[in-house]
Amino acid sequence: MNERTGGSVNKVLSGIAVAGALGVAAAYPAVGASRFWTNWVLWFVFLAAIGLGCMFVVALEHTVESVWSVPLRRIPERLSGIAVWFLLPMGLVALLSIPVIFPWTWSSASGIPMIVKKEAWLNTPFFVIRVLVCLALWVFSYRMLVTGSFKQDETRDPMFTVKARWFSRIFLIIFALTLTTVGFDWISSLEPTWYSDMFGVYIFAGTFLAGLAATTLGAVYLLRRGRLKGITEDHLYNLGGYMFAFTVFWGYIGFAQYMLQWYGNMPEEVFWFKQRFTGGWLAVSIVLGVGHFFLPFLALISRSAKRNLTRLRWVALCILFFEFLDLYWMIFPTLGKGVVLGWPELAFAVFFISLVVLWSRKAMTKGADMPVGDPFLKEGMEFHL
Amino acid sequence: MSEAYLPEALRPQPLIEGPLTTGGLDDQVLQWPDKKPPRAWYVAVTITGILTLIGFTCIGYLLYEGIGSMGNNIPSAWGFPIINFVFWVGIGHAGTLISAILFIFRKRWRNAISRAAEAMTIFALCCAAIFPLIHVGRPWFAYWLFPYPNVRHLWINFRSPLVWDVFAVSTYFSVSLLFWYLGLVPDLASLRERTKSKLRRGIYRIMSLGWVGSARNWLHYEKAYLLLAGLATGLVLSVHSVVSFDFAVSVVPGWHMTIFPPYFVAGAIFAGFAMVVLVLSVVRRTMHLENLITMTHLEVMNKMILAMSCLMGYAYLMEGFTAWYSSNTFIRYIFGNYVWGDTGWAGCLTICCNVLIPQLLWVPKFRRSFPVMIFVAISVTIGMWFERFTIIVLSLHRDYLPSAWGQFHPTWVDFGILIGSFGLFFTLVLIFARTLPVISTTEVKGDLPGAHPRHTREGGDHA
Amino acid sequence: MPDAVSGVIALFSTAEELVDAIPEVRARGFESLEAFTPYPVHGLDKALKLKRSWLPALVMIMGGLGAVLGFLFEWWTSAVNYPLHIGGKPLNSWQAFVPVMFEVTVLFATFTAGLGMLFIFNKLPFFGNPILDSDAIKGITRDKFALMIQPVGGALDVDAASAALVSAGGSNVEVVMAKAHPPARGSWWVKTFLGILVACVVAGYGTSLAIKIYPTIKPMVEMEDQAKLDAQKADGFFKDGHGMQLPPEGTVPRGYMPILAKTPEEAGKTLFNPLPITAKVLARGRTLYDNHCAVCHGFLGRGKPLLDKFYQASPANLQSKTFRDVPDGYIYDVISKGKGAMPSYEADISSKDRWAIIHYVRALQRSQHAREEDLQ
Repeated sequence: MNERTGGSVNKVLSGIAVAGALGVAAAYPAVGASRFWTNWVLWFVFLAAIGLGCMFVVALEHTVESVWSVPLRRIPERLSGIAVWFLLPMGLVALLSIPVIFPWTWSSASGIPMIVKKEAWLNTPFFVIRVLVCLALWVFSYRMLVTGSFKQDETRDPMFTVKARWFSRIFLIIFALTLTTVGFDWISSLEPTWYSDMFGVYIFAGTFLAGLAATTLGAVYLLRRGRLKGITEDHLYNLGGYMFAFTVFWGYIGFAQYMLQWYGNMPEEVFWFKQRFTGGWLAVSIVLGVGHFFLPFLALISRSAKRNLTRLRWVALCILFFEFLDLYWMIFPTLGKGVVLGWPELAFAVFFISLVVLWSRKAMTKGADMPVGDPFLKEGMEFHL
Repeated sequence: MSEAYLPEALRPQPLIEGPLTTGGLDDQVLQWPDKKPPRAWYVAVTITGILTLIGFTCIGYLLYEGIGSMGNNIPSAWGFPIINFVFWVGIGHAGTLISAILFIFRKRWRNAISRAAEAMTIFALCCAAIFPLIHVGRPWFAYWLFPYPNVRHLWINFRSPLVWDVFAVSTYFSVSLLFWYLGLVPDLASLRERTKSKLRRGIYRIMSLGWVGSARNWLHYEKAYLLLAGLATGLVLSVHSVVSFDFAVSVVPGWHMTIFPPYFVAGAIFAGFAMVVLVLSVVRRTMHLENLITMTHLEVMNKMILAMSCLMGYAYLMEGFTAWYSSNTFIRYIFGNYVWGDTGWAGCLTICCNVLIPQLLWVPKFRRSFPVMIFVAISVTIGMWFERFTIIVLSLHRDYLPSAWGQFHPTWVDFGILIGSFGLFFTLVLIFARTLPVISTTEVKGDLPGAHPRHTREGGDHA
Repeated sequence: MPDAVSGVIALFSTAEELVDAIPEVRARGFESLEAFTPYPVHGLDKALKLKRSWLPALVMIMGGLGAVLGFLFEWWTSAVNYPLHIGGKPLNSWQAFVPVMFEVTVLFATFTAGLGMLFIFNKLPFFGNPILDSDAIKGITRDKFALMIQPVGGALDVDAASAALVSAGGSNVEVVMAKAHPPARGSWWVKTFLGILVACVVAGYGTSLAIKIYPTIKPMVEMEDQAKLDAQKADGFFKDGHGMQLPPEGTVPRGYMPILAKTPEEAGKTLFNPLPITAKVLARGRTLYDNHCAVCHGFLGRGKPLLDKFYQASPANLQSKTFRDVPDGYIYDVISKGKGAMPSYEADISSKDRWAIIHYVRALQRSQHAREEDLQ
């Protein structure tokens, strides 16, 4: 794709983004603050899944010292910029949503003992501090892991790899704690009386998948433009294999969480699932189960499927879509109505998708397509199954 | 690629130390089944045999006298037997992780240790299987667990996690056995050709099924092995999850936590790796296999132990936090009880042994030091046993109604059977080391330099 | 029958030499080749042009079958054949059926992979392979790599084959002869199976015979022979030797009130019907009367028993003036303690029920002696 068509694509995307922005702005007065902020939080969490997922992919690769992934590592490094460029502004704006959509801030909460007992955790000042700390840690981790990697392109200093490996282990701990906090704070506390200690793991499963899918899409994007020379079917096979394995992992975690709360049938837990299995939400649940588990599972089960670029692209898109649906299914029922899907949701989608695609296209021009300073790049290119 | 300019920390470690030919590997590993074992082996087997005998005597006494001779009582109706069952099933998991999951991820360091680890899985499951049979009031009705319609045409209760357990653990045992045996077949063929004794040759001939190692054989074999590894990966996740369902589907406070499935699996892998480190440290020394089971192998396993310890720390944090967050009086009480109740020393011991002590392994020097490694491994084993103790006994002895509270008193029968299970496990490990190749020579041969034609693949020996 | 040539085999020292030798041998016109290695060598399948294994497809099919069969079996036994509501869960509790379904899937798939690979694809166990008796096998299982040229259509030029192998770099050329009478695979199977069957039968009979002759130790003896008093067993604990004792004198069961009056007349003066006259009470009284009293006193209380022919006593005619005039307490006393041939019904009918019967009797009496105003 040459400069001119690339530029015109960007122009079209910008136009769409502007249209989306207008729709989003119109939604606030039109459908009310509640629905507006619910959409905003949904997109915040979804982009967190992609951005943090990509950062996790990078950190995991450093921690297990894997060699096959080195040529591909620049893609998630670039995309983890979402954690800085999107999450930082969105998160700060999202703080305005706290008194609107979080029931534990409402005056009625003081009459519900189960919420009152959690006041030490669910109170606005502590919540805001947690959000700010998470954002700060993500920006810090980005600088340590990614900015240094771009610098390594020029300096070719192998000591960065040593430092990155060491920091990645720390980052895994930061990631575990901040992602769990995001899950508990932004999603689970929308329904403050509900609790599930698997929730952090469940969000992690979806987040890792989102990171893998985004990496795959980035790889497809570059390979179709003739970049990333030297990447073979064996590298793609590994990407496909990981998406397959963690689709199974997501299915296992999601099923375990649901089945345990269904089996125990405790009123204070199971109402959350009951809400999502009645009426219109039942259809969404079934679609989610089929699309997030069975579809990628069957589509990636064969060896040849995992090496096929087109198949990988469609499955990655499918995974990202259904991860979004997963978050929508978790967040939107808290609005208290049936399945809410209208022009505001569409406007938000148009706005954020076009913005992220636009941003990603720019990010894909940053630095070299492969981490050329990494001492293991050559070995990674020679990787064979 | 030149390693000279790489900093020390990044230089790849060799998986096989020193020069070794394919034939030399055979000689080194396969000499043991044909040799008379050293005296130390006889001493060891006598000791473990005595422990096993103690265990079986206690089991015999239990079957004669009845459940009252154990500590199980109301309210702690599940005591040592279930703790031991979960403990041993957990230990089995490291074997499958090493042989199956690491195979899928193509981590070559697993080749030298997979045979021993898989054998340990099978022996651990043998130990585990004893407990559900002996802890029921009427063990002669054990066949009621199997899916058949009884005289009143009543089927088993498929909605019960205890039935899921039956299917899960028996599937796990049979699949592990199959996987282990398939891996053994080519090695048994090697033994068949090497051995001088006619009797042993006949046994190996039958057990190796007439394996000749033709390319067509290998083609199907490799496919089967890969498929089995992939399926065993899913299986190992599911088995300890099903075991955790025994607890998590109930509404006992402290048990009904959704994180139990991955928490138990992580704990199982954790305990299992500790046991593998313990066993292999001894095996490599006494059988002079230090060049094959290198310090690198042990270091990587210690890193896994450290990673699992951090996961356990996360799980404990989540449990404690969610217990508080649930605003449920009973759950809040029970978690507090875990650490500062009357039996709170068990909870504290668990956290100390599982989360605090393994943090020593952050230091690279300690990861390569035997005293520290073994200390950490033993502490993890103890910690994981006490974790199950904390979960089972502490949750049961003080649940919802204070009028139903009681105290749990283990008896000498409980301790005897526990000691016996350790005795049985180590006896089986010793017998295995004596009779079968401890290292999968077939797989390690493929890792030696020059093992594969250069123009297709690298036959390197890096981790 | 003379021994047939199974092939010509030569050894190579490294895997690379073997893989390089294959196209050379093929160039000499030998297409039917087999290689033997101590471990799977990368690139060997491609060099020999071996077709991909069908095993994965078979495993997937069997796995799918396992999933379907596992789930159907659980569902059928739990929701169709003997439906039971357990723990309030619905009959089709699919969530609870998933774990076992998953395990059965894995079981089917893994056994297909392992045993299918052995039995179907590799045709093992098989002890008649001529290679097993060759000299080459020792090297093959240790550290040598072998290439074998096999006959095409039963014919093989042994010298040309040997020459081809030597020129390609092979050594220790050997002609492998097939056994004249190779053991049939089937007969080995049959022998093994029969052997195991015989062993089981012998063991089973032996055990059952042994148990008959030598009584086994009772398991969990403390459970079977518990140190407690049983209702129907003798026991030395009590003086009279009975395990179960009668209740002490004057014990009154729950829901029963003792009658302090000594005669029916006294009872008539002291006991009064505590129950209200409601349709429910009368219905209960009717049911009990029909069950307990009608057999002697008749359905209308006239004293015409149903067993008139067989029963010599004459039950009281409840419609007579005597019984219409006596107070309720009198009747209560008679029912409770019995009178004449009528036994005591205290044990059969509770206090409340007896009063309900009395209300009904009064209704019966009124029905046969209705007053003018009752008809309006």
